[in-house]
Amino acid sequence: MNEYRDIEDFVKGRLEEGVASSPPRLAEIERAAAAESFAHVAEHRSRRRCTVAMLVAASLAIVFSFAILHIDSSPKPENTVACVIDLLRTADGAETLSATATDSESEETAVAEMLLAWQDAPYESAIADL
Amino acid sequence: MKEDSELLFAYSRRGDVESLSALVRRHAVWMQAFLRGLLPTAEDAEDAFQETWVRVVKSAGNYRGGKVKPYLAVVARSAAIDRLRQIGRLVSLDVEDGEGASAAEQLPDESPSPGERFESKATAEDVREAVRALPEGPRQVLLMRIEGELSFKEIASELGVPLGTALTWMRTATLKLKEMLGGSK
Repeated sequence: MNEYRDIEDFVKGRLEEGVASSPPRLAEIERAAAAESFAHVAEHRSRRRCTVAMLVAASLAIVFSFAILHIDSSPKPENTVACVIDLLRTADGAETLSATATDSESEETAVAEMLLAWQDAPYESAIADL
Repeated sequence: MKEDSELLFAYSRRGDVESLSALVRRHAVWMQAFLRGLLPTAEDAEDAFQETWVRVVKSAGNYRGGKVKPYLAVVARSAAIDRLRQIGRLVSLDVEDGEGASAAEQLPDESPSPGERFESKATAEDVREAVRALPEGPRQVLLMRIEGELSFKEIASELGVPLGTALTWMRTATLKLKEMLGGSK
């Protein structure tokens, strides 16, 4: 063992020799601890509530963002009209359009009604209406 | 046995005073030795001991984990410094006041060697006297190192001195103690 360590151990041992293992003024320290403990517990609970509230707020913000993203990514009316023209060129386009139009309740009603009207109209007159 | 950090958390989060008492009892011996090395009388050390724990209790809400013993040593040192200030015995830790590197360089080269063993018949009171006779800087480094178990980096940061100065002060303390205590072989 290094002599440095020898000296350190010797000094530590001697310094701690004869020191009372029962802490001085423990009762006074405990009284101070009891007086402060209410404040600590209240502070800890308040901090925990704040954390939970922040987590809930963050979760709601994420859900809300996804909802907005979903609404924004739905087809625009002008895109829908272009799709209609494409679908009308195919044999079963009219049936598909009919199903799409009835499903899209939140879409512009005028567009949906127009699609339903086109189902019965000849292809040429539908193009002429546009 | 519960860890120190568990006891401190039990007090700060649940208000468990019994856990804090267990922590006080566990750290009583080294902390009293530490404070008696820093302060001139046993009464001063007792006052500083109580003040240390009152400070720990008040700041327990800010405890976020980490090693407890070095933290306690830092608080105890701070309480001791305030006590020294109260009784007008505070000595500056100025590196240029003759306790720093320049003073250590003047010490004879009696560095302990790995082969030698240190032996002494010095009593506890002799050792306390010798420690109290050390210059302020080396004494604080020695006590923070052997009683508080702080790293030299932590000690340097706590004292606001370069790491090299903290190491030199430790060497100074060790050599002076060897000189003072080794004579009673």
